[in-house]
Amino acid sequence: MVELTIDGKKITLDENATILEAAKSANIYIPTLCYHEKLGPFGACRICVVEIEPGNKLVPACITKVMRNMVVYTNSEKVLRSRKMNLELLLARHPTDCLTCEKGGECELQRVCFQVGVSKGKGEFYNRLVDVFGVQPQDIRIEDSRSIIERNLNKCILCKRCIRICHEVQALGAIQFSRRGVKMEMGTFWGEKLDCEFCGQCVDICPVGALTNKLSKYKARVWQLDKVQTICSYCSMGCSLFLNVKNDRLVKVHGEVNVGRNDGNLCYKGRYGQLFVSDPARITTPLIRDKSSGELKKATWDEAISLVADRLGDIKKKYGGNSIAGISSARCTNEDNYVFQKFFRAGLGSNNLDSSTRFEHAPSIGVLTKSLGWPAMSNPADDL
Amino acid sequence: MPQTKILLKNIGTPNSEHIKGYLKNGGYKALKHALGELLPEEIVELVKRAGLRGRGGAGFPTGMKWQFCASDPKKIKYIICNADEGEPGTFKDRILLEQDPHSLIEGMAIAGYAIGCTQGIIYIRGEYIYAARLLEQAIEQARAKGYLGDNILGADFCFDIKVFLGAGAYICGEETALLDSLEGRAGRSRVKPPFPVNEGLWRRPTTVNNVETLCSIRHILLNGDEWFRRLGTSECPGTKIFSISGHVNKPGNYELPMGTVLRDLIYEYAGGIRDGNKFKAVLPGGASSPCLTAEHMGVAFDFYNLARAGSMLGSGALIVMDETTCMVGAGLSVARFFEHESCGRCTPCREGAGWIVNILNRIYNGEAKLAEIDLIVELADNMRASSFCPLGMAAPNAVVSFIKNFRDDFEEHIKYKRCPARKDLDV
Repeated sequence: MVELTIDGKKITLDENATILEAAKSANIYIPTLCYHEKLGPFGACRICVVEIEPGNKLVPACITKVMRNMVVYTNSEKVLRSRKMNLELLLARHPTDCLTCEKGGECELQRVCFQVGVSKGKGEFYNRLVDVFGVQPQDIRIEDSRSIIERNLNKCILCKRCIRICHEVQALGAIQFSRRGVKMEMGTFWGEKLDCEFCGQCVDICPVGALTNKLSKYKARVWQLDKVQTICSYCSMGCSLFLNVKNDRLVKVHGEVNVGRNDGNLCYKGRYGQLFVSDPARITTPLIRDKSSGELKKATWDEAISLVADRLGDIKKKYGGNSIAGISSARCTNEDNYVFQKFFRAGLGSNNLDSSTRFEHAPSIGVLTKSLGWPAMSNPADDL
Repeated sequence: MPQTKILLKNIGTPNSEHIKGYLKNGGYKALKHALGELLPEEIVELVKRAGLRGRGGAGFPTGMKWQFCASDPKKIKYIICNADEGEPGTFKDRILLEQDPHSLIEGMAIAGYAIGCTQGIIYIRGEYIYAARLLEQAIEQARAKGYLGDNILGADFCFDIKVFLGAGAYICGEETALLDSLEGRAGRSRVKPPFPVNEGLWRRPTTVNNVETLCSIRHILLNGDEWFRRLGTSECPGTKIFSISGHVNKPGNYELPMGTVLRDLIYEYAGGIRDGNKFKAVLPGGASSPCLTAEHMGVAFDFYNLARAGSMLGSGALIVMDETTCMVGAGLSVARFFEHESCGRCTPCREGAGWIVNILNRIYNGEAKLAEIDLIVELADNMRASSFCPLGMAAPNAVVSFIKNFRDDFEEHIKYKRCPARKDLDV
């Protein structure tokens, strides 16, 4: 444990903590852009600079470890000067078309500018740049390929969060910085079109509107969305996800850090595969085939269940329970699956049960049993 | 006065790049002495006592670096020679690499023994392809004679060296970016701490030393620390190779004791200013150091005295400018270099370096307003204060010092659209 002073407040905490964490624990706000709690230390945007004694140096709060008797100023004149200038430098090349920007309202650049008090009309240093050059925001191409991710590099502030999550969390590395200095941009190998599995992790972590979800483009502003927490129904992992709903229609899906087993990480199915719920073609009531016409007709649940109960009862009476088989799914909950097999074994007297999972999972069960003697995961998901 | 040739002693002798010539000049004696008579700790102590400071630019005490690395409990360690000589104006390592590669190999082997590692790597800049091939040949020769490989000279010490060619980025001369480049990534500086001596290449303890530093080792071992301390100043012992270029009559590498004064460097050794012109300014430590002017003629060239004079020794590359130099143009060419070489990681350096070039271009062409001169200074202050790595902190040094010392040049460009130094220049 070490003791340090931040803005006059004495704080005692673990010596492995950073200044940013220390400040957080004391409810002192330090603005950040490239920092993300899920990612490793990076310290590139220099928005979180703070002044420390001894030395009166400026250091980035997000990567500097606390030290005994350190004195930190988060709002000294020196700090504000540097923070403002760095922010204005980023803003100088950033097109402030927040009016139509997908991220407007949840944009972190917007938030930090608001908190630090910088805008294109207000920034002292920026105004002088404009005065001098009539600065035009950068004008790089907007990738509008067939992918579901829109890449607008004009808005990119080069925080590398997308690249870091792709490398550090997804362990893929589909994107990387290409070129150097002011010409640096987020890109793919040889500048090819984005060709990955489109998990969309980079879209979720992008602090600005450089990477956006094309499926939800122009559909809603952030503040119009109700966020409903639920569990993904695609596989047995049970990832927590948030449905963003506007007027009872699903607009998009996102994950949130520290929520659920998945810690906010989602795969392409979880993130982009949920929009079917609002699809007009989706079947929302049971259908019963009309005997005479052979067509499927809408029915109530009561009608459907009593029909199934009658037919199953008949079959069991005539041929015995063993003549009935049931196929369940990994997309049902554990409770549903338990009740389903109980109903078959105890109610119908049939052990003929299978799961759709066999198709994909049976080979891995075989291999795991052979190699580890245990047909399921040998470690908790957190260890992965 | 003749030069104090110690590192450059063998340069120009027949076959100096070949092991035959090297052995004739007493080569590998220091390695024999080290392996036969000294313990690793004793070598580290010796280098510490000698007060050798890194010759790459930062001037960190070499013995301390070795001790940090040697005392790390991890087993596998690396010694890396930083031969990515990229500082504009520096060409001292090149002459050592091309004409005396064996003294580097011997120095690395001794360093490897002192630190307790078995693998050395020479990270050489891609443009030095000729030197790299020579080095590979020299390493082959040393292996054949048993100075590299298993059980060197019968001792319980195995050591080998690999040569790695860089791809031409200036930033890779910064040690952590160099490590990233070695690991196969784009060269961009790492977060410190952990420092390379604890977590360097492949997260193993790694010592990164400059070519000139490692070449000095054998002389310290052969002649002792007291001999070394007698050379140079008390704070910075030893000799230093000064690469003098620019508007002098005899540009070249000059090996002189630390603490040689600027006047001697220019007028005694480099033959004075060309065409009988007057001296205007000098960048004493390459393009990333603030300039010195005529009033600094008596400044002694070592790490401390130059820092006190408001500049830095860096790698000892003097770029001399005479009275006909347009300081705006000089500043612009330095600024362009750093704009091109900024890795782009942090905001102040990436954006600042770009803006400085934009503004200087406008001043050079007489399009700017007077207030823009101070805008450069402001951008530079922010770069120095909040950049991620030494590149960004040093990048605006030269330009700001030009503005400080030769503000008239800049103002004249703007006010009268002409250059006071170059009458021919059509602004």
